[in-house]
Amino acid sequence: MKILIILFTLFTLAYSQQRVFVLDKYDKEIELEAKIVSKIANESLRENIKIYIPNISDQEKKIYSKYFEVSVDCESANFVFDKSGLGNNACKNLDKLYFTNNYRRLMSKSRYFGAFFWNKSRPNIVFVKQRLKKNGINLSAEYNQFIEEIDDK
Amino acid sequence: MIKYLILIILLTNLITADSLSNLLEEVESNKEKSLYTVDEKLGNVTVYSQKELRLMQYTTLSDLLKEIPISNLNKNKFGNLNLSLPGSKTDVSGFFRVFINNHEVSSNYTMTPSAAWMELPMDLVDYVEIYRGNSSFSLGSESGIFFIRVYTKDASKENASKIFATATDNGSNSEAIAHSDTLENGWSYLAYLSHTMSKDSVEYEDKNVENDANYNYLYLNVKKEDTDINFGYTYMDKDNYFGMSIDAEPDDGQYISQDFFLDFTTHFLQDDSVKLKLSYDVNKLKYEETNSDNGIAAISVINNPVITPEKFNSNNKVIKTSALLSKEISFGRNNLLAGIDFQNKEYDFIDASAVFSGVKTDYENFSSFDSEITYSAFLQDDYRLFDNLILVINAKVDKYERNDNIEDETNEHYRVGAIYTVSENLGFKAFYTKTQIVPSFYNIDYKMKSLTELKTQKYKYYYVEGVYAKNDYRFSFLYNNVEIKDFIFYTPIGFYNVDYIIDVDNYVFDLDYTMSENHRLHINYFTTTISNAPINNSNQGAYVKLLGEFGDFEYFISVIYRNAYEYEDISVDDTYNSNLGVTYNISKDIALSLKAENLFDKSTESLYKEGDASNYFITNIGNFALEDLQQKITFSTKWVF
Repeated sequence: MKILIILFTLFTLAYSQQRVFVLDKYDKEIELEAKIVSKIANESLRENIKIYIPNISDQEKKIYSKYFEVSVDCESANFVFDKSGLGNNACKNLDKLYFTNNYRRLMSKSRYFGAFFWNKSRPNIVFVKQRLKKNGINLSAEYNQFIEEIDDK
Repeated sequence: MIKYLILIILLTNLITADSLSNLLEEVESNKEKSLYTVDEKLGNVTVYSQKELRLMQYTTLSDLLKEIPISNLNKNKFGNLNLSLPGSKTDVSGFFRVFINNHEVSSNYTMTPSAAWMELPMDLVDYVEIYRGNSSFSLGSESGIFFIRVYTKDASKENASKIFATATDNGSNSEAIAHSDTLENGWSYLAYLSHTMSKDSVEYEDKNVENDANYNYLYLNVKKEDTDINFGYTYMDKDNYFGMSIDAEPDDGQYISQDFFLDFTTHFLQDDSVKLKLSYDVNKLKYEETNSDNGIAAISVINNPVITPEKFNSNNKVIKTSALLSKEISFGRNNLLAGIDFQNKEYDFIDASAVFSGVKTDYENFSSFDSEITYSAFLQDDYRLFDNLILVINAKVDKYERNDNIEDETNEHYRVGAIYTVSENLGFKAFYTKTQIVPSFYNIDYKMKSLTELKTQKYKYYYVEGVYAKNDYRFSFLYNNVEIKDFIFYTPIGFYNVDYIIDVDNYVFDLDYTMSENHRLHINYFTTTISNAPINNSNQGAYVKLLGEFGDFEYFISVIYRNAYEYEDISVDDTYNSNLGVTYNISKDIALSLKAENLFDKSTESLYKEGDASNYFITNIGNFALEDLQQKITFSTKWVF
């Protein structure tokens, strides 16, 4: 009986989700995105991350700052998360890791080693095998299911 | 042993909680909660999340709205489903308002949710928010009391092509296709096209009264970060059901509506605090009816109640152009919102005619009121007095310029309120609102002949809401009081302002219990009392919903209750609209669903009227009640590719 009660309590705690009011701007989505990007950046670079996100909003800056040092320009960053598209000259030929949220951008520009995007109403992550190798990134086994071979022409 | 077991469970949870796969699952489940746009400062709010819409298998917007508290979903004489206040079936212009992606799609002729958008297929819809409170204070739109805000699927989170098809046992069917994509430059688009052929009829006095309809929808949404462009088009043609025929037996008739809108919204500055919104709307309505036996109660063309036309047709169009500019400023503990809004409505009376005893008369208009310009300014401040107490103050001024003998007027609207979160489990909200709703073109066209004007309706509205939420339970209680002066009431001889104050008290109790991650029980009950007005509709209602999923299956069971009522010599029994459905997900991309609606054939009933030209307009006899919704079984399928 004791076990049942304990298990029920754990189960309840795990799934409790009711709330009184939603008063502050709902930012769980950005929080989760920052968590995912942080996990990927730390796994890929294995050094102190300085992230650059072009056109970052104030809300994003506040949340991303919990996980990274957020850089105001591309030059001083070592990881770029491109959500809104980099300008033609911005960050060009600079030695850093590029990650995006746009699958088409990932396909067409070889500078991006991976993307976190939505497809068929579901969130997805893809890393390009050849580009991981080119950037000297060794991901742990947990990431294998997200690695794809894409022919860069 | 027990300690080890708990330790293992906790460790497993900790290790797997932040794995990439788990985070992706969390992202998906967070999206299904649909809390991106909820604004508690607008009033009492209910969110129908993406997950709830999916599990409950709502097929159209009206299918969802039939259960919401403090309203009834009734079928009007033209066979369209529309919302009524509990206890009353009268038309309520401007009270209920429907928005799609922040663009209002209520008819600009009648100021009620348009018949076609009420039947909007839910395939297009991501989630729905229902606000009881005047959200025009924050959004600059026209005043109202009950705001239904529909949000379409987000193209950037879809990136898919989808085909939907449904068929019902009564011969109705619908087909829809949606395609969305995100381009390399960051722009995303969603295109949606749908057709529904709806079969509906009712047996009345050994006659089969047809209510068949065709609904067509085209929707396009294009967006990138700060910019959102929406284009919507509907075409509906249907039988006119009982129409306006005095003997409730028209020989023939047709109701055709077309709605079109284009809305462009963009934000400026780094913090997106400046909003610009431009929009263009067209609502077209064409109506035809023939009834040679006892005539048609087309009151806009009748001068003598005993002389009624045997044929009537009208064709009109309303064009609305609007622009809004607003700015948000945060300083100290204040969040300030200020904005200006401009609206221009042009009513184009295309043509109308009536045939009296074989002689056709053409009309140039029913009223020369055909133009309305509105200038609005609004201000909202929410002030965080303490960390757990927010005070909200709103003010809005609308200046109306109208042609004809409809006087120009300036209306002032105010609202004060507070949101107090006592603890993480307990919270209260209270708001007081003073607002007005002006008459629509439709009200003026169909006003009583003896009246020279219709006055603006004045509303005073206050409500108190208490919420207790802990673990898996959320219990809420809502009380509101609505006081209406100069209420515009519809009678068989047209609209008029009632000369007394209508006082309405509503009580809503709601219990939401998340039984486990995948199963949920929701119980709601409401009761309404109305002073000074006869009850001619249910004034109490409830629903019980059980919904969930296990493995590849999803299910729901719901019972929607409305109480019995009596009006004149008509008695309508308690109604229990029972529904159940199941979905089988063959794969992540293909789903088959089966839904049974109104299982025991106990849907709500609405009042209609019949008679002859000698008594129809002057007595209250000839009322009859008929069911609003049929019993039906729907099979549907979804294919994502």
